[in-house]
Amino acid sequence: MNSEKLTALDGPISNWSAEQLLPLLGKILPESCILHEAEDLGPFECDGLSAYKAPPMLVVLPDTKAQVIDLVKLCAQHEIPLVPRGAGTGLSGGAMAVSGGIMVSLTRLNKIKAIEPELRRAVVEPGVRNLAISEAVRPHGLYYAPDPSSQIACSIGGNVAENAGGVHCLKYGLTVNNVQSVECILPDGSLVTIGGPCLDAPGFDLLALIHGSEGMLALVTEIVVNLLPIPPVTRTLLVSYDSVEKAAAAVGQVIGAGIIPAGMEMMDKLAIQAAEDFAHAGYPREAEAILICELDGEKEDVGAAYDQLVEVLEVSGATDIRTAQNAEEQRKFWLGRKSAFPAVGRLAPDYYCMDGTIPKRNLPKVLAGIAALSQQYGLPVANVFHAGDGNLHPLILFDANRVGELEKAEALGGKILELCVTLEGTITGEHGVGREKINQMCLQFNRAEIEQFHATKRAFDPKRIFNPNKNIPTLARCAEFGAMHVHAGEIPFPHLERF
Amino acid sequence: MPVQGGIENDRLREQIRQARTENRSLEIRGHGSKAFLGVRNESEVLSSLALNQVVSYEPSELVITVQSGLELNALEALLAENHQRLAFEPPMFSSKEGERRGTVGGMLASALAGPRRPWSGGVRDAVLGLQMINGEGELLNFGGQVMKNVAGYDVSRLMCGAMGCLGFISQVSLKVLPAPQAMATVTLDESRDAFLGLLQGWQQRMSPISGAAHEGQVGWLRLEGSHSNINAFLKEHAMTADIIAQDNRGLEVNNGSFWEQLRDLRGPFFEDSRPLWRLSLPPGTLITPEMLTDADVMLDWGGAQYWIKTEDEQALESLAVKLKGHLCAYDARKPRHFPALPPAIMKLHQNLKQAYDAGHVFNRGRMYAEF
Ligand SMILES: Cc1cc2nc3c(=O)[nH]c(=O)nc-3n(C[C@H](O)[C@H](O)[C@H](O)COP(=O)(O)OP(=O)(O)OC[C@H]3O[C@@H](n4cnc5c(N)ncnc54)[C@H](O)[C@@H]3O)c2cc1C
Repeated sequence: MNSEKLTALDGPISNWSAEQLLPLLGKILPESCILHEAEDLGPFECDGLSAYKAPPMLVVLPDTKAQVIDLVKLCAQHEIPLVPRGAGTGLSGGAMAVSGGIMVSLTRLNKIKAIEPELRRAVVEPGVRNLAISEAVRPHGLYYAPDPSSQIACSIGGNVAENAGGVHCLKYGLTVNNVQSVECILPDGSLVTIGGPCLDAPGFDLLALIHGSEGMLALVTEIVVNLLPIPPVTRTLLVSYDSVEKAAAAVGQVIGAGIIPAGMEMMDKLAIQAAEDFAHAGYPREAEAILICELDGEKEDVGAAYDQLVEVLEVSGATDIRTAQNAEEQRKFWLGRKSAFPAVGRLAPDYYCMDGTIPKRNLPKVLAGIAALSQQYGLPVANVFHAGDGNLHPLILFDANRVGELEKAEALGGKILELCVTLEGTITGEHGVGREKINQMCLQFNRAEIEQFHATKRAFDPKRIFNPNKNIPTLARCAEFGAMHVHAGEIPFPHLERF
Repeated sequence: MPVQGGIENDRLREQIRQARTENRSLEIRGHGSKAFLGVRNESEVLSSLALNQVVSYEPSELVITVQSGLELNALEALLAENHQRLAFEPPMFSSKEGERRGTVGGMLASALAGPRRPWSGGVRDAVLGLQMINGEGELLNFGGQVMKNVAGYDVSRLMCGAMGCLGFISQVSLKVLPAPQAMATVTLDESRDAFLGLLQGWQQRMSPISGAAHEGQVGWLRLEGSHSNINAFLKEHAMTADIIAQDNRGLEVNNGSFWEQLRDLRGPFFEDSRPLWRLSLPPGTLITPEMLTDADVMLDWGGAQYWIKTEDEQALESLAVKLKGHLCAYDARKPRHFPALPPAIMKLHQNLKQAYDAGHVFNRGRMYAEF
């Protein structure tokens, strides 16, 4: 994936060199904040999507917000592209360097500035790790609900920029539903607060717009997160099926019965076996699919929902239903799921994680489709995903050292996303577009919609300072690489027949 | 989405393009039940009312897709038949004839939510995707019908609360939730101060609370969830209340209840002839009697929203500033722009207006004089 080759299609390329920029940076930042030696830049050459690499020219690690503001002003004045970066766990190349630009890592802004238990809020800097928030507020009986699987490492600033989700977002929502306000720096260097202390802020909902904007509209410097009381009771079930279709159908049946599980995850056979070999979680090796279902809340509510859930699962054709008897067993049920990525990672030298999302009723169709595509391309695909939201994470197994396999994996991934769009879904549920899915944007959106996105970007950043060439493809790129725009309901259905 | 609005969308697009060419403004209108918000510029009406279809509804998906001219009444009734509801409890304001009014488009554009808002999230939290027409007359789709979608910027939520100033919403997909098994309303003889104190304590733990209001010397608490859970809460706090099962006709069971009246701003408190004001405040804010003399006060949203009847606009203005909140008139006699924005934020608003409606076709001057 030679991304450099492609950037010419994405608009003007910056010509700044490190030699030109270093003296400018030296005027506003201490040396300890600037990285420019090749060996220091290595860790920043990619994010969690390691197949996409572009070593940055310069990395700046500000110690203070004032330094970030000075940096943005400098970039605005000289029209230098600036790529914000959190923990670098993103899975779409969003925090990847752009040529002729500066990368700014916000990891040193990592203080929890205030915990307000009465308001159930916390004020945090962008470099604070997701899990660190819940750990810090636990003594107050509170937690921060969105829990991406990467929560030990990923930063809350990155969560806002990607609108991160997690295994509990079916019930508790995504990042956007759990943030009260953000303070951010606009591309002209001005510091603004978006949202406020009230439940609604006057004017347009800019707070929603900032979420998931992938560092292209504003650089987030402070976040007020909303916290929830820790649910007193949690019940976790491990449910086995002898067919993927039955498991997929059960997801809709549970929700159709009026039960909103806190989490509802699904794994297929390949993933189950890999996870079992890796984590020894006690998963049923012979099952074709498992569901991990969690209920949480107050004792009485959970009790009522539990009885109903078991009934629905029995009717759905589950071959085995196990309920964790204690915290240790609960942990084990989750351990297999949470280590599924590294576990699958041991099955092949490389894997490529997709993130399409579809309406739940189409789960059986999409899984059959993925199986057919996997055969067609000759690459195994393991499925581990947030079934309750219809958010798929097919993991394509391949070996990058074999000539042409990476390209094949990419092509297969592209086909899977196309399938998701045809099934009335989206190319990305939570990992973002970044560089990775920029071509598939042309599938999901037509010219006018893409132009509307560009106009939105211009409203914030007319000079394209923040994270240029990400997320929204140019129309020229769509003409060159994008397959035909498909719109659900208007697509040429015949090619679905094959699945 | 299967329905593109077809002929009607084409007609609306033509009307918009015409206005754009002739540099005229159009007033987007559903039922006009929220006409008192902002400053109306009476111009040719761009009506959503012919777009009144349910496009798709799959209860097990927890998603409904409807056209923007659909009546809220009809939407709620359909959901109730399937024992589901919109979590944010949209208000339906009454016409003179007492009929409850409002369309989906107006609900979205105004982003007004009812008493459950602090516990359920707002309108924007339920928006999954929408179809709109921008100021150039282009038909655009953003978001989708799925719970999670981060492809491109979140234009759907941006449209929510924009009072139509960025475009005409023609269709929307909303997240719906199962209605709870049961509901109970507790009344407490407490002062406002004491009521807020109690509420504060209860909310440190998970609880079935889904409404908290106070007027005069009475606090109102709504509990929702399973029978047994509501019972447990009542028992723990030595409260008594009737628990009402929310059967399939949950709507009718509730009809005329305190919460429905509060949601729709009906009932004795709202009948007073003085102007009605809404004060949005940080959650749990106490307005003491000394802060506002010559006013009647109804606390809602657990103190994050107050309804105030007064002639003393000045006093309210300064109270809003002092308590870090903002003020809105709910009275057609008091046309006011939306609360002022800091210059950098206003600049963003103007830029976005330029991006979505460069010809200022939609609702000119409705939110702010600047656009
Ligand atoms: C094993 C694994 C599991 C994962 N599981 C999940 C999951 O369950 N759910 C999920 O949603 N994601 C998941 N992810 C993806 C990733 O962790 C999230 O996208 C996360 O939000 C990224 O945070 P980060 O701090 O690492 O951001 P980075 O990767 O550093 O950056 C991501 C984007 O945010 C921008 N950005 C970062 N900080 C700021 C800021 N302060 N202001 C403005 N823009 C900024 C960057 O420019 C970039 O575009 C997973 C990743 C891995 C590796």
